[in-house]
Amino acid sequence: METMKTNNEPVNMPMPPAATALTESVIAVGGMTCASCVAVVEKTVGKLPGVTGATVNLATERLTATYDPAVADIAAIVAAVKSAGYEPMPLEAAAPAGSASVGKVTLAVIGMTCASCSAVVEKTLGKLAGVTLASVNLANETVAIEFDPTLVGVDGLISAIKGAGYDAIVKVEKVLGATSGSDAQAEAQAKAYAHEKMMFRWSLALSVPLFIIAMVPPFMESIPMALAEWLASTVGGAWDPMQVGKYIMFALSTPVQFIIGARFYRGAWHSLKRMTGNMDSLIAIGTSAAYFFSVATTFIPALQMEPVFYETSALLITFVLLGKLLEARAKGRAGDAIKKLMGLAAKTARVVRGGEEIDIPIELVVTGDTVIVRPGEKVPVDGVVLDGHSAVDESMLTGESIPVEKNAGDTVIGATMNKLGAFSFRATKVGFDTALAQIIRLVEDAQGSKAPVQRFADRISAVFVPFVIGAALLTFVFWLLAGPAIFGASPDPAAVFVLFEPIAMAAATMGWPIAALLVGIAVVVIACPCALGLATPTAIMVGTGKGAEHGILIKSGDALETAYKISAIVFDKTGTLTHGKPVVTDIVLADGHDVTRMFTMAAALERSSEHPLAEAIVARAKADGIELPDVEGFAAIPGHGVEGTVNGMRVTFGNRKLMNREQIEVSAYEQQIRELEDQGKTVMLVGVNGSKLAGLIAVADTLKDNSHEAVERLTAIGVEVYMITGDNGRTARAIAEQAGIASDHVLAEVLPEHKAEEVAKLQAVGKVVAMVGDGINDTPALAQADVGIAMGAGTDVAMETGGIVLIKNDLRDVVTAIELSRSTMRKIRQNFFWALGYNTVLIPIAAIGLLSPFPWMAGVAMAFSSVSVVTNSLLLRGFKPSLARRAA
Amino acid sequence: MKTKLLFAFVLIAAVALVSGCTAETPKVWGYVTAADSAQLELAEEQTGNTSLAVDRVLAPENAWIVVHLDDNGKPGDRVGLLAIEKGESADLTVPLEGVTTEKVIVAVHADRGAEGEYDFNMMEKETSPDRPFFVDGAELAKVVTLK
Repeated sequence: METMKTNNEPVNMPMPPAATALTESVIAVGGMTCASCVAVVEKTVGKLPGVTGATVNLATERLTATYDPAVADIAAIVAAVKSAGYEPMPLEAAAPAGSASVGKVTLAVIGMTCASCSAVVEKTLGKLAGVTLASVNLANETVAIEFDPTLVGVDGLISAIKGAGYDAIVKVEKVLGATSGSDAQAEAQAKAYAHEKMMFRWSLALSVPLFIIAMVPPFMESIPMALAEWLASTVGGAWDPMQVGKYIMFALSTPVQFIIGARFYRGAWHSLKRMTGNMDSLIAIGTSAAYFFSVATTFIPALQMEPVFYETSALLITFVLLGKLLEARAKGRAGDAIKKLMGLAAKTARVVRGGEEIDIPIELVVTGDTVIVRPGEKVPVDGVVLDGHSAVDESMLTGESIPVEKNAGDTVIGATMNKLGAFSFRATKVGFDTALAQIIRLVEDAQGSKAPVQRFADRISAVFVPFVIGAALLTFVFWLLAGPAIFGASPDPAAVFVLFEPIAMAAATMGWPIAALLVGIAVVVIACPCALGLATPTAIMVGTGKGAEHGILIKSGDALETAYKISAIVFDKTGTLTHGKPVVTDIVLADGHDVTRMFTMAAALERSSEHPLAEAIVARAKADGIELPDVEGFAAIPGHGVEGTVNGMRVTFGNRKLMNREQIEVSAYEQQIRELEDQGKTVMLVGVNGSKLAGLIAVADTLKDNSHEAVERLTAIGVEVYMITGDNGRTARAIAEQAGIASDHVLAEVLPEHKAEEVAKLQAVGKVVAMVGDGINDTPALAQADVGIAMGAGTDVAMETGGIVLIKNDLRDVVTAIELSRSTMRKIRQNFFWALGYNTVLIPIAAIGLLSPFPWMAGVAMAFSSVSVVTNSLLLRGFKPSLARRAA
Repeated sequence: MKTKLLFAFVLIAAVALVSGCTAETPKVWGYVTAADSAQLELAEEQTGNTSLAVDRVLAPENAWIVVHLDDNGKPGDRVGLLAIEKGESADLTVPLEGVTTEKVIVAVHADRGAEGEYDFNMMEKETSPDRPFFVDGAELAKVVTLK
């Protein structure tokens, strides 16, 4: 099943002239071993008519193909991948997410006999509040219903049908989605891994005796000898132990070469058909050279005196398999973050069906179900609390360690843990629409995305294999011709320069042609670029997974890669640096007044006001437990404030202009008022009976606890911090000062639509800019920035905006995201060093013949190269943010 | 499993390095055959140094009776050669030439190189086609004193 979505992102291939809606499909591809395989699959699929993009991620073993469904289809892509010699498996991907506010359910209706029955059911349902569509399929005896889950639940729908004289149950259908596709891929991967493990064990079981007979002196004599004696006594005749040894080695190595090593021949053949090369080509060439030379010296009498190298080919295959096995294990661990997230989901839910509470598997919960959650149970799906109250631990998704109070009307998130209370809630998001499912999908997408740096590896891999084969041939020819000319036909190893001792020794004992062949084999095998293909995707996998663990959703490899280059960061003020909610910060009382009295008057008036600052006053009064009396004659005076009669007194509440109008003297407080205003606070004055000032209340949007720490740390790591706001300069500078942002980095009085321009200005002077905003008002600026960082809060994650989404409202995560990006890029660079360093260093070493005594060591080195790259990426799992987490 | 595999890898590599340094000539460098397939019977003291009498010889394939000078217990220059057929041969006389030692070493070599051509070089004894037969881990050979 393919993901059907319109693709707006740039693709690798040229876009067709007509702007048709493109389809994107994700296909699991088995059998890819190195970056060259990636190139083969991408090229093969990319060449298909109608395909506009094909991107393979080696670490996740997935191909993402973008194509015009009118020209190409998934079957053609699958066939193309298959023809290239790989094992494609289309993944079931998430169905397009429906609107969160629309519930859909299909009920099986029992008892309908004719068309009139279906009309009754449809009408009955249509009369229910919240039901927007009810369509009966008489043949299936089902009714498909669309409804507003906030108005009616599934139980209500069933009751209504029962009321009309029929019976109804929820029809269970298989949920199509990414998880099932992933499961199928995981299953296939597990199967492939088990097969590979078995192959490796056989290979090892055959190679170890082979190695012993070939290389370990007591055994290389005694085993063939014993067999020769046994043959002489049973079959008769005379047996040459050396020849018998060759036969044993032939028997042991042949299954390794052709059964266990068949995959290399298959891969090599497929790449040969496409006139390309890959790891399989190199292994096939290297091992075949060793194997067939040995076969010749075993069975062609004229060559029987020559040595054999069966152990070289078998051990090469064994070590390459070992490397692949260790790599697969390590790759599995790189995807732990996703498994951990998946493991969070509850398995069952207790729902009310037919008036009874029943436990059902979570897959069967539908939008609109009433779900019961008892103390200590997991919240199974997302929803809105109907009844009861409790505290819910949401730390697994948001990282917030303090349980969140939940009362009727509050939203709850699936996979979070209910604490002590019990409550019921209406399911509003189930299956693939839940916050957890979306986070998983986001992380999966990010892990499967290709970072721009990967293109570097792809370019190298494309030319590497032909280069290596050429280099190996050149090496062989060089030693074949130049060896005897430089060192003599039968060189004295002791007389040559120490670096050439091994090849001189090989030439002295076996002759130059064989010595040259062994060197050529070592070059072919040691140069395989398979580690190169893993350098980037494994690091991206671990990096994005680690981000998810810290509540940082990095949406693509691109964002992860760009984040490390950030040189300037622009914070939106309201809701990002600050709480976004004004609170009472200062209270100044006039003589003879007290806080309760003043707040009683001010809050009573503000209760009727719609001004945003009023909320702060009322909230403070409520917090102090102040009873608010009724107001008579309430009036809002635009631009001034409000007035009314409270407890028989005429009260005015507003700014200086209002006080002036009322002729209330405030000059005694002028100094304090100015000081408070200089701090970016809004000062409101309370006048009583039109003559006296009761006091003043300062309200301000306060800085979040961690903003200062985050800004300080960002500055320390060399990132320039800016603040952008629509507020006036004075208020903005006051907040900036508290946050530790330099006053010349304050971009004040910027209208939301101009925020993107300010970001562009910074980019124009060469800065790599990140914009941090709430993801809704700041969308253009987030899009303009090199990296858009959207601040989310719990379920309201603005997932569509920005390259990085912070689940928590904690600015320290911005620092963590940059640090994680830097660590990941460092890992990628290290991986390139490990992958290319091996080749760069070992090709010359192999070419000068230092591996001549043990050409199979090239296989060991190759395996070690891949394993070291994956292991290095796994070290990223130890990443720790530099800023301490909030104490629990 | 990973630890075991790594251990195995290190062990193999170590053995390879050691084995690479300790290769030496094997004890059995000819053709291994059973005692009832290859036998050599002759008098251990014989008279005269121009011929050697072999009472009976049994060979698993076409072979050679080869006579060497005794070079301090090791075979020296070859002084006699006689081709024999596969199976049993009796009452054979091997002509000798250039005998300079009191003792000679008589051995039975296979004829596996060019047929009828003795293809054995003591300097390349392990790779020469016409190598001797070995029975029970020892070369099928006898030392004969010539008087």
